[in-house]
Amino acid sequence: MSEEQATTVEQAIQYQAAEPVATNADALFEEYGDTVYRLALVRTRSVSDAEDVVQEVFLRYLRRRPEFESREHQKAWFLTVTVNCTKNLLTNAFRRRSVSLDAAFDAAEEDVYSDSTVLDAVLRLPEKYRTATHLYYFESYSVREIASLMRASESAVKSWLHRARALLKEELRGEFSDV
Amino acid sequence: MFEERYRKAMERVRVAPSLLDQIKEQDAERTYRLWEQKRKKRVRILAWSATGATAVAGFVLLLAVLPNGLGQKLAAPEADALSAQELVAEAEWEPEEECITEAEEDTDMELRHPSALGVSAGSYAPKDYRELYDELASRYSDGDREDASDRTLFLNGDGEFLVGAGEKEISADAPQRIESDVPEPDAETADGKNGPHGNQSIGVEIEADLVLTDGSCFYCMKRSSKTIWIVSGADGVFLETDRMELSERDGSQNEALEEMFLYGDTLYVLLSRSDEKASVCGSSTVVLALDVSDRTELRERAVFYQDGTYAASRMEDGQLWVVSGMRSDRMFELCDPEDPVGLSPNVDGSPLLPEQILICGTGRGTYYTVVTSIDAEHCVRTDSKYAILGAKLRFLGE
Repeated sequence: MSEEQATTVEQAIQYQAAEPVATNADALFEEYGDTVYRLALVRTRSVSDAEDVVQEVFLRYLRRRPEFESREHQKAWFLTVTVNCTKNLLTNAFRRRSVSLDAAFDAAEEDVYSDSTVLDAVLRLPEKYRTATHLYYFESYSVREIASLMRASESAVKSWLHRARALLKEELRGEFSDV
Repeated sequence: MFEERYRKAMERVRVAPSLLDQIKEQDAERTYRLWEQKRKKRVRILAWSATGATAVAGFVLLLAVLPNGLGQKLAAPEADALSAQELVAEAEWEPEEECITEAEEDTDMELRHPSALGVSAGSYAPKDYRELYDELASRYSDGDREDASDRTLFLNGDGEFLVGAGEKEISADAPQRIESDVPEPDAETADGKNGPHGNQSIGVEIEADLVLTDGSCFYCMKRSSKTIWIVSGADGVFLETDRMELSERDGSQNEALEEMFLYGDTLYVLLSRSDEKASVCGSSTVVLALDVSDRTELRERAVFYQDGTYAASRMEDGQLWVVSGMRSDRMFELCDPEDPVGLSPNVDGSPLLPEQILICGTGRGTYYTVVTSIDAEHCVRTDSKYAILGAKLRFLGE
């Protein structure tokens, strides 16, 4: 199943949004640039890697020009491709050998975060946990939607979120009651 | 609480806007690379076809030159039934459809419409001439202005534009063209009649600089004498059927012949004209359409004008694309700031509309590239006419 098809059916059924879908590169970058970058940053924990992923995602869009039935479908496409691109990056053997995640994390942290307590905690989570956490808390996706985006089962996502919360509680030393 | 803090922290994470420019440039470069591969492949096929056509034409001429009996013996009965034109047409068969690959199909999909002019980083069309004036005034006020920016304009034959960075070579001429090595006569050939070697071949009155053929006739251009003539090669007998001295045209002393294209019964002759009185920018490009439906009588069918020195041209899918370029400094100096329509390049005597002008926003270039097209079949100007401010033309597609 292609990346486009992966989100087509569910999203199209769920969201029959009447809003026009943007196709212009500038408008799309304006609309989804930050979304893609944030997810990429959460997954890669590196500013430069996240920027590479943003470029790759938008280049894929420009090359394929997929058609979308709704804005939600479009957003889901961008997030799915981001997950796939970061997956490729993270599994790249050269990167695994040559990049210190701590160093990358520190570099990312310097640039973008002023209040880094919460972000620190999330970014220190294992990859799948932090992706699910980001999609759940920031993008407000449901467990079912996250499962679809990450191509995992709903129970797996529930489990990731549960473990992520437990780790965050420990990391944040009970600072937040809603975790 | 956690969700709120996380959201607040995350909302401060923003992607750098400059990334979009990089994405567009990469996309343009990639599209150009794919398209260049396709072009090279097509040129190879055409070169192969042209070789085949030359061989067949040579064979036909040989048959015609040989004594009748021998020629008829050598010619197979089925070959007798085919005219020279048909034989050449057969030889020009291009196995393009069979050869097309998925990658090529993909390339076709990548090429986009002129609206893709917007892919240039920071490029925009001015909303009115005033905005164009303000932009030029800003560029001219800068000490470090350039004649052209580092933006590069790629144009393919469908009128699709891509603007990217970097230097590219101007593409080779169309393969159907047969052109002599030295277009202009040197000291030894000052009479313009002889070829670059300086020796006039017996029986050769004038060597053409450019020769086109439709399989039955040759259409010849001599730049130095500004002459166009037609030679019929039917039945192996070469006869000049008509000629036109373009030097007899008004203002021809400021004109130079540049290119020639044949489309159906129309011969398009491209001339560059330098005339500071006629055009504010000092130069223009003229397309002279000659009706050759009657090969014994060359007639002027239409004339098209556009501002700027001739830069390049291409016939593709029934459209003749003409590109010219010019500096804008004189236009800027002479234009009325209150009514700056004079800043717009003219095409057929009318200034281009603001929406037909693209300003490459990332550079400081003040050089105009004017791109227009003509419907070659109907011999009329199409709506595809644009001027790009601040882009060098580096590549003109087939």
